[in-house]
Amino acid sequence: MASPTNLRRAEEKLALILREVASVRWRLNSLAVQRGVFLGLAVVIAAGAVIYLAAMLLGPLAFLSCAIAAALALAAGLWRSIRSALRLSANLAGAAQVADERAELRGRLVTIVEAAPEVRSKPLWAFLLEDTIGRRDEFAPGRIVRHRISRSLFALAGALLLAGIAIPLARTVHAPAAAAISQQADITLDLDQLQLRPADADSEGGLEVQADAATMRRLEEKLAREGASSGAGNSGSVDKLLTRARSLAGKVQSRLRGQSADKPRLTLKLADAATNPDSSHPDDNPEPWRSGASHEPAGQFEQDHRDAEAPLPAEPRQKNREAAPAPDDNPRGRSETGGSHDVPAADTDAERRDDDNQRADMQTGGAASHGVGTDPQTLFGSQTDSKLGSEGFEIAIEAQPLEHGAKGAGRAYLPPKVRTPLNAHQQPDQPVTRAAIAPDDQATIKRVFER
Amino acid sequence: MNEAMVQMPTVADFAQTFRRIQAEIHKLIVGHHQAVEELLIALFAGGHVLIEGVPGTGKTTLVKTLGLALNLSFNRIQFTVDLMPADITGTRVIVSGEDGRREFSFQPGPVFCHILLGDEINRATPKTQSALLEAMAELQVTSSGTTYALKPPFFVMATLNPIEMEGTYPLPEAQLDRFLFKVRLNYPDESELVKIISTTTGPEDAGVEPVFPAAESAARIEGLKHLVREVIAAPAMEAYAARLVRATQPQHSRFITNSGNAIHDEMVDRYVMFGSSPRGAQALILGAKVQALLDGRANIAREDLDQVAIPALAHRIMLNYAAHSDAIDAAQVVERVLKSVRAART
Repeated sequence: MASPTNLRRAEEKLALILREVASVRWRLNSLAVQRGVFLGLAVVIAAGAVIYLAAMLLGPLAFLSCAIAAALALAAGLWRSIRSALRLSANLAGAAQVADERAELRGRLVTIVEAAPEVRSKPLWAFLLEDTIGRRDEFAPGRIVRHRISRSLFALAGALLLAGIAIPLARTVHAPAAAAISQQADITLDLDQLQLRPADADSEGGLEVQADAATMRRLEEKLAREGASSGAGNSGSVDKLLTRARSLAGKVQSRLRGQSADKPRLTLKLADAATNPDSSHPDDNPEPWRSGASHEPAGQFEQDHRDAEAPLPAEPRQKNREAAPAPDDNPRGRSETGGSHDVPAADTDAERRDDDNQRADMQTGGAASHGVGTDPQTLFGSQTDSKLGSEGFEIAIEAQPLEHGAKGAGRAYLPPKVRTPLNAHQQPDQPVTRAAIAPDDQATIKRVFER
Repeated sequence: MNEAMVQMPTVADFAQTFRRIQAEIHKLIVGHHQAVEELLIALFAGGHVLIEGVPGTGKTTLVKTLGLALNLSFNRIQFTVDLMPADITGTRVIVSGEDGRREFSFQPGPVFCHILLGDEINRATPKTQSALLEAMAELQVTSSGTTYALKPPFFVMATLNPIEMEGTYPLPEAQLDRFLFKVRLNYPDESELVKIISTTTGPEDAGVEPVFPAAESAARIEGLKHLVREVIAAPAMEAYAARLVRATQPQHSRFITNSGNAIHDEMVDRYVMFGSSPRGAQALILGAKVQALLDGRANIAREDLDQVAIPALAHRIMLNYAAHSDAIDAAQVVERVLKSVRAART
């Protein structure tokens, strides 16, 4: 039977051993927490950098694939880091086991920690305590857990380095392309070369289309044809899915690129060379198209980058048309300009030939541009802040300039292909003799014609 | 000397005594170091040993030498097909008293000793083999309705000849399970063979000196056995032993109903018909306790359990025909189980 003194000594030894094991446990758990935090942060940062890089450098679908892969890797990485942290964490018995293994104590500590409550009366208990305390130096916390800072800090540093390299690199690579897009003032597209697809139901309006009735009708017909052909195909649902994916990826990319969530308003002006007698005025077309429907611009497009709030000079066109006198009925006096807006479409070859004759007349008649929108009275009239599109209708369709399109395709000027003859109430324009223009007005004229 | 007067030995005493006995045995036994150690571990763990080896590898000599070194009573039974249970346990015979009257008296059989060698145990009939069961498991013999206790320590060593299987009766599983360890005596290598020749063909045998005086030998050995039982086994170690034993069972054994969290190895599933019984876990812990004392510890460690796993578990595992056809033996299965359980732990 052990004496009280021996029992007290045994208790002191036990307390000493348990204190050392508790210290080992604290260090292990500290490392476990550090490991979980550092690895988790490293994974998040690395995945974020990869997604950012992809957003900057890749197209929407490639970005989407890359982002999904990165998100999956992120989830797996987080799970692994949490699991490894949990594995590294230890209770008192676990810490004793780790200390046993690292100090080669052959289960002495784990036996003391686990069996202490039951075996204190056993004859070999005192021997076990004495034997273990004699090896105290071997299981000192500093020897068992040498590092106070987890090595996973290197992983975090690596991830930060990756992000530090990737983000500026992506910005550097992306900046010229972004600048090119922002400087892109006008885009001229041929309606026949456009591929139209249905817009997303949730797509926001970022574009407005202005056109005369005939052009809009052509656009409508083309939309109907494209819609019918896409609906007839077997790949309609896949296309729709791809479209949605592309749209989603585009939105995310825009946000990551620091672009405003609100799309810059693009105004697409669909213009024709001749005025359609039935729909020469844009207001005649009552159909306001919004981006919820599926549209693509047709005919000749001009793209203006404006803020949604920016006023568009629409009134002059209307005023011009109302105030401009009809000099005579000579249709050959008409001509067209590249920037003209209200030009009716030609339907027959004869009309096309007539149009060619008119062009020839215009060239021989002088260098002054004339026709709708080029009347000197209008040109030199007082400017108004009213919105250009207000005189007709606005159609918002989903469209955005693409970086990866055919080289120069968005800038090529395509002359109008069609025109219609003047009706009984219309008068052809007369060539206007060049007049001296005040220097102050020249800037205004220039600005108008630049549009 | 009275047994009660023998003080409980210390851990250091145990290791010292163990090594002394080992050294005495090796005066006669050349090689077989592991077999001798396992034999002594089983002795101090309070179990019995099944020794398997080809003829001439020193099975009988080993047992005899152990008896001499321990200075304990020693008997040998040569098991043959016509051996009867009474030839082992003893029988009642008519004896004449001093007054001339004749009466039945129990004549103890060879089982009444400390160390019993059952040579070629598989040559006797199952009925005779099972006569050893009661003695081995309960340290007692029942004859004609009367139970006779055996004096501790009682240690049975049975030998098996793995070559001559004709006319033999393989030991029933229940009897195999009663042996704590199965020790294999391998064929000696050349240097060991040379040494065997020189030591056994000389004019005199090397004299084996008893480690204990005859009077106190049994008590000393019982004291050492008691010390073994005092070795502390942490719950984690007991759990590890249980995991090892559970892992020897095939996954879809019809005898196992709840194999949910058991570790399963493909080799076990493929080759094992039935794994170790719970006695295997007891054998593991007891063997590990002796190992711990030999290492100067009062606690068992996983290494101790690993070390005794093959002798404690191999003979308890029933292999199927696929294992025999693929020349897989139970020791290989146990090694694989050890690897699986270790891998699952890390």
